Amino acid sequence: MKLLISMQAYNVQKLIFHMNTRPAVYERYGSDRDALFADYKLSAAEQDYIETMNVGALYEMGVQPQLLAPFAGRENIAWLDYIKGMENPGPLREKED
Amino acid sequence: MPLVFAAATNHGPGITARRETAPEDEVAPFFEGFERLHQRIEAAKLDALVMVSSDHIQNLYMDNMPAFIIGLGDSFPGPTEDEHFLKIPKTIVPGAPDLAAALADEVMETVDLAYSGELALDHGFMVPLHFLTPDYDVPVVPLIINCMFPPYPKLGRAYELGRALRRAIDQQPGRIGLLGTGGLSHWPAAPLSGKVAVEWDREFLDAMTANRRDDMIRYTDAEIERDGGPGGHEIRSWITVAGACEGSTGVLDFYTPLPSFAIGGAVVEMTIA
Repeated sequence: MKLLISMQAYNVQKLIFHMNTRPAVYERYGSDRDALFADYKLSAAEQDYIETMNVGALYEMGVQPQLLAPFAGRENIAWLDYIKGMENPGPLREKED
Repeated sequence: MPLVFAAATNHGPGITARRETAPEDEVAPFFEGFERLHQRIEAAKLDALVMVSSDHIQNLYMDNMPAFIIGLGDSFPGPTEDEHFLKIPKTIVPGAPDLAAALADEVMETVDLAYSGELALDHGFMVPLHFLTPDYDVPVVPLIINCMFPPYPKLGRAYELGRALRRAIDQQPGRIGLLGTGGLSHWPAAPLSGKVAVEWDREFLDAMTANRRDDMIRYTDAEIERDGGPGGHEIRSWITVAGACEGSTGVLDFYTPLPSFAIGGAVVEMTIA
């Protein structure tokens, strides 16, 4: 078995990469979220998983954990809660209205 | 002989991020080993340190992913991670742009490199530097190997990179060190975080300290992923150091599993012949 290139979850990973590394993008996540999600062409499920910090579901979609851990830290998810969320997919917080 | 020091060790972010909550009897041997490495690096009186690590998706993404990329900046900000997470203050690490350019030029006789003037340093560089050159007074040439998104450079190419680096370094004046960081087995930030594959680690370390190239590069990527975890791909940094010291053996200073830091911890120092 070979490990091959996978463009799975490309857009949602790209958004998390940019939020992790570009302060202006992360700021838009707080102030202009719907437009940001649209710019990155996120599916409804991807949007929901990010907003509820369902890191386990994002991981199962193929998102690299090295993207998820720093994003979770920035979103004030404690390390042990993050690991539990990776082990048992589900929302780590409620979606904001 | 300008390569005066070559070693490989770990860089897991838990080393600084979770130090305060880790059991002292588990992690003390690791920090004692790091301190010995610090002392040997100081004694080497380096003019520059070439560091080989992965990038943890802090600089590079799949929109443009090089197999190998060298940093030509005259300085590098770091760490990229939040200070409250990594517990390393933000700083600026001096670079060595003239040396980096000269190394890139010679390395590319046999191994293709990408280059960048704008790399930032993540925990792969900053965690070791925090302990090993805590005043950040040794100019650094960062060299990144893609260990995040397949296809990864083949293990044999990582060894060739080391051979090319050695040829390039030996053409330069000054006292130059080489430090590979990453690994060993680990499942970083993943559901199996904390698992350490002791037997796998020891088998690799046996091959590296004897500098048995064929044994170091025999793993397929799928085998690494299965037996050493996704973080196991970072043995490429160690293999590059071994390649730079082809014909020489190394000494294992220590090996200890560190579940609290989610890594198999070790230091190998290679003999410079």
